[in-house]
Amino acid sequence: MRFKLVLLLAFVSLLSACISAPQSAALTRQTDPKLLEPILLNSLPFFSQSAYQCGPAALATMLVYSQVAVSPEDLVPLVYVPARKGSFQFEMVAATRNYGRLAYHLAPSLNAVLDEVRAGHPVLILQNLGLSWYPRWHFAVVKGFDLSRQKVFLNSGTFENYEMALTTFELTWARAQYWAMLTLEPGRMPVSAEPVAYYMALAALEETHPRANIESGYRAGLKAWPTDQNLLMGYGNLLYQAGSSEEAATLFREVISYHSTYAPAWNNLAQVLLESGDKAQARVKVLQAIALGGPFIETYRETLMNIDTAE
Amino acid sequence: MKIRKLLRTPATCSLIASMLFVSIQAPAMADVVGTKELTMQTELQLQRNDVRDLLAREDVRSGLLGYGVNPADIDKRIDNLTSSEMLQIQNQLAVLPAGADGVLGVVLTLILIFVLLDLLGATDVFPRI
Repeated sequence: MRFKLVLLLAFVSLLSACISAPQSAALTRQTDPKLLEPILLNSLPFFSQSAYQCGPAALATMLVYSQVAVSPEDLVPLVYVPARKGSFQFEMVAATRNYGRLAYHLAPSLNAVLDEVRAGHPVLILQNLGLSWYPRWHFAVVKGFDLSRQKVFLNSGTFENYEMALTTFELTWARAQYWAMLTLEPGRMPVSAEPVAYYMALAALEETHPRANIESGYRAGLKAWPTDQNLLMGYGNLLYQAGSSEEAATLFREVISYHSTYAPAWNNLAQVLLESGDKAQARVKVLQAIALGGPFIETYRETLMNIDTAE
Repeated sequence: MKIRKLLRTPATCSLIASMLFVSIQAPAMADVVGTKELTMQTELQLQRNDVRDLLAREDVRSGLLGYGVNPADIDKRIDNLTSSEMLQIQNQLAVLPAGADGVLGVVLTLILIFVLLDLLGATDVFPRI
């Protein structure tokens, strides 16, 4: 008898080990009244999904909230794979950029999700509603939460304001590797943004959808991190491409003032100076780039050659 | 001699074949260094950090030691990995739950191949090993 009891206890403890939700547990201990206040983004639209098409419905919910005129039906050809009866994450990202919105991936943290919702940013998430060995993938949108009742509110499938226990949410989300994304108008900053991740998201949008309002994205990023090397450089390049050489030069000079060993900034400044006719200064700058070296050294040498052969 | 056995598996052979066709990136266009090239460089740096994190994992370290490879030797050479090589490691990593032996084997294989092909002189990923 006793042996059976021990076995049972061992089994139960094994089960509970499988379903630990550490982030929810930490949030349960939350006592700050400001954080315990329930939040619900009432203006989030709701599109009831048709069979298997949670991807288009969830993405349309996100995009319409960020001022894009689009319907789930418009998104089906972009993100729905009939053979898989579902959508892939990278298609959701690509479609977001296709509509000129910044696709920003959140860190695998419940706090990041809650902070974003609190700031008025709904969060697109992937869940595995089944088990790791029997997956049922599902896209839904987090629109609110109530920590005092341990609930998350979702627009999910055919349910508007679907209430899910925080623990269940964490478990199903963890089984989908904590995939979470914002779709923001360029210029709106994720509150949980990290400089490198933000820059990469913006540069990806710039590359795939150059007509989006990238400039606002750089300005907002630089407001948050005024000395960020990537953002200053990217903004400088954007201005250069747009023909605003003088402003571009100012940006490249700023990069150098904060990051004097960053060779690409010296080279790009040299190029702008060359185009403005200041060959002597251009030469000084590009020699600095060459001295610093790095993966783009061939470009620097070409710039030098162009300076020396310029009329 | 585990390594020799490893090199003969079909998966390993196809990996080696795919690696031999890794293309070399064309140099950037003249004038400015564009945002696209800079982003690729940043991406590369992030990938390196990921591979370093991978090498710091206990199961990976002990797996490498099992093959007679000192993880510290590999760590020094991460800077020489190309983007596509790291992507191959990372793609495996993405489907690698902690402690899963089968997939971990593939990741270890990839890391080892990058070292071994150098030894054979087929590539120059890790100079002077």
